[in-house]
Amino acid sequence: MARRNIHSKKKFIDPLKLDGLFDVLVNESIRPKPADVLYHYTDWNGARGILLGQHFWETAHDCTNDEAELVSAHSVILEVAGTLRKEAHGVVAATLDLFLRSYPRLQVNKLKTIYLACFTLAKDDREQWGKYADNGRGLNTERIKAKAIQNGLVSEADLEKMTEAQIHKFIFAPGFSTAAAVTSVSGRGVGMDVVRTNIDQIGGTIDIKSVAGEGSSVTIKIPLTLAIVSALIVEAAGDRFAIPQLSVVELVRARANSEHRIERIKDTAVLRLRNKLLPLMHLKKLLKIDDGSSSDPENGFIVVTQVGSQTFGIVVDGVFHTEEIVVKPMSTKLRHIDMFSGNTILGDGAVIMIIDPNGIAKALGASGSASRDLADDNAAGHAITGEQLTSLLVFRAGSSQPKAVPLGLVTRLEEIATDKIELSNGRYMVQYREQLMPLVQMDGVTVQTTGSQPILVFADDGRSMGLVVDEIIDIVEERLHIEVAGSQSGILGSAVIKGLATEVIDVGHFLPMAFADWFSRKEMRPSMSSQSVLLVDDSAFFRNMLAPVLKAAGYKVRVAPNAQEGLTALRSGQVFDVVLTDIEMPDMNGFEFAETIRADQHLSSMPIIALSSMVSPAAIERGRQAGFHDYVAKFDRPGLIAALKEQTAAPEIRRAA
Amino acid sequence: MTTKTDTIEGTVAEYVTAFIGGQLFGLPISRVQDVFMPERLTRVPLSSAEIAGVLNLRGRIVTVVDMRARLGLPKNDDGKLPMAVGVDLRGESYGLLIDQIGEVLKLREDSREENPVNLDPRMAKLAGGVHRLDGQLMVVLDVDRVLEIVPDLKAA
Repeated sequence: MARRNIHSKKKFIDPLKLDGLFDVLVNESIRPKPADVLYHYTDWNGARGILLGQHFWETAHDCTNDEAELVSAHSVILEVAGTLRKEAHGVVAATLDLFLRSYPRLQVNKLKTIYLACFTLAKDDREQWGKYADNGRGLNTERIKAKAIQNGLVSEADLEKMTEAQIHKFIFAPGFSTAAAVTSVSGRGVGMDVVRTNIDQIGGTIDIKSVAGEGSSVTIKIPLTLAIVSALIVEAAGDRFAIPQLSVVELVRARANSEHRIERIKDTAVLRLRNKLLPLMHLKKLLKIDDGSSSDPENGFIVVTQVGSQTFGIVVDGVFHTEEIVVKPMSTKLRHIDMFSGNTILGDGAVIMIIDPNGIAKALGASGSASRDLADDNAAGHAITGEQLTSLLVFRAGSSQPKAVPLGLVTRLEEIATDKIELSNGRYMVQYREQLMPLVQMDGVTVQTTGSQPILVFADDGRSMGLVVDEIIDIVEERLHIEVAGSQSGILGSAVIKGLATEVIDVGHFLPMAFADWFSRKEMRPSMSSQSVLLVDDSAFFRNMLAPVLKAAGYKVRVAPNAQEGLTALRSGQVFDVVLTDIEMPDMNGFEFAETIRADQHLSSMPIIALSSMVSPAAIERGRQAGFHDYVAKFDRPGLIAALKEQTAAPEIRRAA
Repeated sequence: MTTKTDTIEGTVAEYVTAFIGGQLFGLPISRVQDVFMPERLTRVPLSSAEIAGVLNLRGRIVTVVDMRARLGLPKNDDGKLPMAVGVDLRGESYGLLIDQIGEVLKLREDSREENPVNLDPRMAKLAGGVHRLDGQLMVVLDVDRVLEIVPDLKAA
């Protein structure tokens, strides 16, 4: 879930299958009727629509039989252009259209000789492209030369030194058309310069390749960031906003007394959804546009959103519908606002903001619930420092001193009726989701005999363990700084949380108490040739938390508190199979660390896995550029183990061989 | 922008004039794309107070700058709808909200004077000199400086 393989393709849009349509049109078994022809299209998924449009009408109208084939080709291209993205309408469709209008004239006069060789659409993480290729005669280089000289673009002497490809580029010069006459299919005044300008404007590129007598190809690339996304249109304080569907898990209508209800842990609003607790944030409070209109604290529309491993609920005033929107970048004057990833023009012509779930997740992580922020004046005291904050669940167990555990590690909070707790073979068990879940007690905790028993549920790969506690106190956001290392087993150390000395528990200590093989079962059999991992993290807490997990999984672990020491270890001659590094570190951050390793000739092939609390597409992309093999969220233990396995698998095979 | 040193005797500059808070301003005509009525302005939460919002102008998203806020002037309360002057900067479209559009004036460059020392500092920051007209002063707006909007720290 939280783990994202940075090599995998993002599935922003479903792939297109145009082959069928292509055949239909090219084989002319079906001729679209001019009556069908409206600029109609839907999206990548349903993009069979009709963009043949008007152009078909216009061209079919007065074309001869010779031209029929062109019309088909033309239509296919328009069709494809229409599917590229909505903006294709304005830009790409027009572009390809224009291109085709001038193109045949440039290359052939007998349209009959055009055969569509292929039309392909593809995309990667950053761009999508359409490529048109034919096996026609190619561009007429001599005519382009003559025209270039005639237009004063180049001298004859310079022309001699130019390659064909360079000469072909002249067709993008303003006012350049070799069409001798304006006809219904070409040379209607707008030239290739407009085509290129249009594409440039949206950050794309157009490339033309042509070989005389063999054919031509045109590739148009468009940045994917301008792609169409499906978005949920919501309302907050009278304004509409778009939330990308990609991060929306579900919509919940919360009502008091219903299964889904808004509750509060202290002053943090949470939603209990299928026994999971989700932190909630009011969109209008987050955006500081609260108009004061009373929002019923217990009712509301909740957009359950997931970013990396974080799931949270965005409370909105209303939900309208979903719409395919074209993401347009925010103005440079507004780009600093984390909450928005862009803006878009809706079907009714209004401009609305596109919510960036990453920004909201960041706000959740940085300041806790915005509702608390507003409700609690004292909160102003704990200013947002920009330091990395961790969500912690504070509870009491065994002693009066509060204890804490990173909320990210806790799967659920439960209150279990004491009569459901059974004693079996000296251990407390509870039937939980059709499984027997062992309960683990911390020192000094007694299982309640009446009423209900609060437990923290930790689940992993289908198995769950319940940690018995006395009382769940609060969820807080704190800079986790463990000041005193713990001497007691099961305690990582003490930290000051909300002004109180709090013991931070080591979940890794309790998990094997429920299942002795918690860390060592499945893939993690300690292998003979145990591999070694270099773990670099400036936080002692994470080093202490992860090192046992890695050891339990059968890896030899060496830790380094910063990138410099990490490099020293790597260059010391000790052999490591994989490097695991934090991103947010002082002095040299994880990206720079990875770049340094990549640049070192002895280490350049070392697998590096990034470990970060910030899992956003931008961060992943940055990681990919820095040379990380994988990017894992900090609390995503299964993801981490899977990534390690994957990155160390290859050497193992090599050794075996 | 032309500077004092390279003005040539007799050069004229054309300005689109506009009233903001009773003061006459001139925008170099070369910088003005169009003048339009801002319709369906969408406010942008967490943006600087100087950004009035964004709107759709013929398929382009235009960022609208509240010139009164930019100049530190009070909000317009005469109930009249504002106008907007469209300008471009580095490929992006902006609309400057003004109270009322005036005529286009041809003025001799050499009659442009430096900002008076007692000009309101917020205005002086955005002004590229003044022209003395019959009975009033026209402040030349430096479009680039107008668009140097620093995001509010609290909103960031």
